[in-house]
Amino acid sequence: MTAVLEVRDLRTHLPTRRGVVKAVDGVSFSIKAREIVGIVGESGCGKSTLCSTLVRLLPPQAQLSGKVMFKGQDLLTIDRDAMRAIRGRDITMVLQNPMTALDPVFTVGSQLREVLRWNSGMSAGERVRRALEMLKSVRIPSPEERLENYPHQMSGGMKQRVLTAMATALKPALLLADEPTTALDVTIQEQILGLFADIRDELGTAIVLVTHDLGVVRRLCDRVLIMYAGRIVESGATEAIFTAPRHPYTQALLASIPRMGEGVSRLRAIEGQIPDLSNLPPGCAFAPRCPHRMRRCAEYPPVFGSGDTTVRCWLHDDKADAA
Amino acid sequence: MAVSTAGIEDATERPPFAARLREGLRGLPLLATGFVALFLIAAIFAPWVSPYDPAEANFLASLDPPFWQEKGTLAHLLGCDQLGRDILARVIHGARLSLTVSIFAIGLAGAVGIVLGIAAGYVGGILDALIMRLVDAFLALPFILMALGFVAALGTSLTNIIIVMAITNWARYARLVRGEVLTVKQRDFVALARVAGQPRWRIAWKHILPNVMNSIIVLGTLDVGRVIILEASLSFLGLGMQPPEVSWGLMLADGRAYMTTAWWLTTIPGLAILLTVLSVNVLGDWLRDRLDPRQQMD
Amino acid sequence: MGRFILRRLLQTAVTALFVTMIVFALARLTGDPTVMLLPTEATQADRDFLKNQLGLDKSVPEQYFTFISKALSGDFGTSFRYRVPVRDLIATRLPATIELAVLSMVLATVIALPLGIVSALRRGSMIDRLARWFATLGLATPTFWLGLMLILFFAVTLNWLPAAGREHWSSRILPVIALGWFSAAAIARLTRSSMLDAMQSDFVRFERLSGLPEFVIVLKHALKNAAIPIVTYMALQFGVLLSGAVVTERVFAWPGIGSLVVDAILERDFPVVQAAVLVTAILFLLINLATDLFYSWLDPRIRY
Repeated sequence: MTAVLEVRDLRTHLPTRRGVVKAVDGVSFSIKAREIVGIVGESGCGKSTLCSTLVRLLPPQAQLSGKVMFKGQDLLTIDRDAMRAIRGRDITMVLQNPMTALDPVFTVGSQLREVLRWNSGMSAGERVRRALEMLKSVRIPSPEERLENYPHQMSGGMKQRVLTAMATALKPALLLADEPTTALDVTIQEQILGLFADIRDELGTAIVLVTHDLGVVRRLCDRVLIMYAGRIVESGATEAIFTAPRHPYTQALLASIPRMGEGVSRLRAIEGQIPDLSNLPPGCAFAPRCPHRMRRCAEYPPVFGSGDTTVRCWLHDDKADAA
Repeated sequence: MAVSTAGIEDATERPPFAARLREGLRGLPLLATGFVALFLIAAIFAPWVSPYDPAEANFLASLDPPFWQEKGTLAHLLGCDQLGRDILARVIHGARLSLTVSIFAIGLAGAVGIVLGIAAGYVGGILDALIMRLVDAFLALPFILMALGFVAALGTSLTNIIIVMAITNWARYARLVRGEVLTVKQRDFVALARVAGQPRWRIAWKHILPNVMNSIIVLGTLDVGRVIILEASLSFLGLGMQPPEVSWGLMLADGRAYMTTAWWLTTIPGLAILLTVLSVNVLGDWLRDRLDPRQQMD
Repeated sequence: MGRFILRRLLQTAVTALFVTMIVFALARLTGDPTVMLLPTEATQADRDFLKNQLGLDKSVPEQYFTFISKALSGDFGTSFRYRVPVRDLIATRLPATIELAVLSMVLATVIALPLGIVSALRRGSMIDRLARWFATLGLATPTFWLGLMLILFFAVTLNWLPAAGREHWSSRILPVIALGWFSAAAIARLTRSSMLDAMQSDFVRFERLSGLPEFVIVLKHALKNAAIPIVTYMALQFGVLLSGAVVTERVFAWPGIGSLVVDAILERDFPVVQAAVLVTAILFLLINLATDLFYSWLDPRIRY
């Protein structure tokens, strides 16, 4: 099956007063229809910027390079109107904070219909009907009343469903979800995740799920990309990553999850701090914190492995002699 | 695997005073500050800085224009009024009056506002409702009319003018303080203090007041301009300072009759008001950006 | 919603009550009107007679009560000086002031709103910097001085426009500019910051992500959200305008309530002072009430 999205060597550099922040620094991956790919990393690793880059909503001074192939077009080179047409229709996004994502002075129904109006050719009557359908599809109770509600009259979980409905109304090929459950209760989280699974199955949408919550990843994602300092340091099938992580960063992340039965007296944190993205060391970015650091790591490691299973670490150099 | 503590010692050592001063003064608007300094020098050192006595009449120099005009002389840089009194001298002394009125009026208004605002915010209930309605009432009355009324009632001495300015201005401070108090009241340390048994007035003094001071200072600074203009308006209408006091507003009233022949009588004092208020406002804006970003307008 | 309206009405009523008390006290404090009305040789008996005539010999609470009850039925008494019903005096003069205030507000809004919006959208540009300078300057300009300068320049030097009075249609131009200048500056500044806030909110970002065109986002969503604080502020500005009208009317000899009140204060004409200030204040309160109700229509969070 061909890829819905193919990203090759994407870089997003943001000039600031302190220097150039390399938020995304050489990211490559692809995603197919009916796939849920997770992107995992700590705060500040560049995952949100990655999403913004994919939809091209960055500040004007951002410098982009690389290729983002979507339906035969390079999204980085098409003009703004073409990108706007794609946004909201073929590529949609669900954000982290549902409480503030909706305009507080318009009803939920009017905002739903508005998204339909600007992204499709439906008539007014069709839009009204579709809006109701959308609310039903995300399993919101009493949808007719909810259409006339204002955002502040809804709970966070319900709003997240509405936002998801808006993002899937036109059956997009790709859905980007940036920490969609972080701001929600655990029980609601479960429901939203179930919703995403249904979207994948019923609409065939490819979903990119950005999160720092490994539990969510394990529950929902087919594949995982581990991101650090603007780079992808490991990728692979979810189970493989969880049972046999290869990159030291991935190992440290997994080791830091508290387990049931283990005493809570010692939470294992990763030693050191995340690097300053405007001032990255020339070699492997994780080297300063890595327990398996070698001399070789002063040199920037390339990606080893192929296809969906890769790792960016000298430890897994398949062409290495004994060092 | 503990988090490395290597960098932590450095954080507790404070950067040197010079660096902190530079950081604190970042973005200071130079022109505005310079003018405010000029204003303060004129106001505070008026008797020494002024070239003449502002009341000194010299009929020979009556209606002399400023020095750059045809019949002007360097003896009277900004010209003279109809009685031959030097305009520059009068402007300098006018600055003194403006400063005096604004500082005391705002101080008084602020004090009253703080007391009532804290009472309303902290005690709450009926007292709060009543005080707020009183605030609304004072804010509903056009301040000029109120000022005129009170001046007519109390008389036009300097003290009375100051009192009147305070009466017309306290409401805004009360409202601001009450808002702040309500926010602060909900914070944990206040609850802790109450649990620890501290009396209410003490909590108000020690915990609430410092948090409120920043906003008060910002409001006060921005109010200086308002009060200066208000006093000038009153004097212009004839219900403010009376001769032989020197007020910019009075100068404008005096000069009005000669507007067509001697433009400097009205233009120059007005410019003095404009430039002073402008500088104070610009400085006040900068101060607000530094002290209380929440009130930002930019 | 009903509860909200009821609460606001009650608040306005209580505030209005306080206003009447302040106004009443104020008027009484200005002194003894008999001094102004009688020649200096008048005897104490004459004064007492006059006081009795004017109802000033009754106790203060009694006078207040009379004042309130009559005011509620529209009877503001008789002017001490002009000897005509105060109501008539006000009726002739009030329209002039309202005209001035309304025109100034219109001018200020027409200039300030677009300026503020463009300034916010083109932040940092030349027009933004010019707008901000205009706003800062406008807030520092004394209204009466501006009036004088306008007269000096346009009426005296250029002789284009009349300097005083209300006869000609062009008489309005200078006073309206003088009065509206300050409000334009204030409104422009607030519009800019309000729009900036709105444009940076999460829902604007989400709407971009949803593919909505920029003009819809700005003119429909951002503007409606920004309108809320702006409208509230404009109502407050009305109070400032009423104050500014007093000096403007003096400078331009405009026959409105402002100059009426100033004269009345100087002459200790209680009924006129009371009535004029009261009417102005109540007007302001009503405008605020209307604004609150309008605001609640704009912002559904208040309504429900």
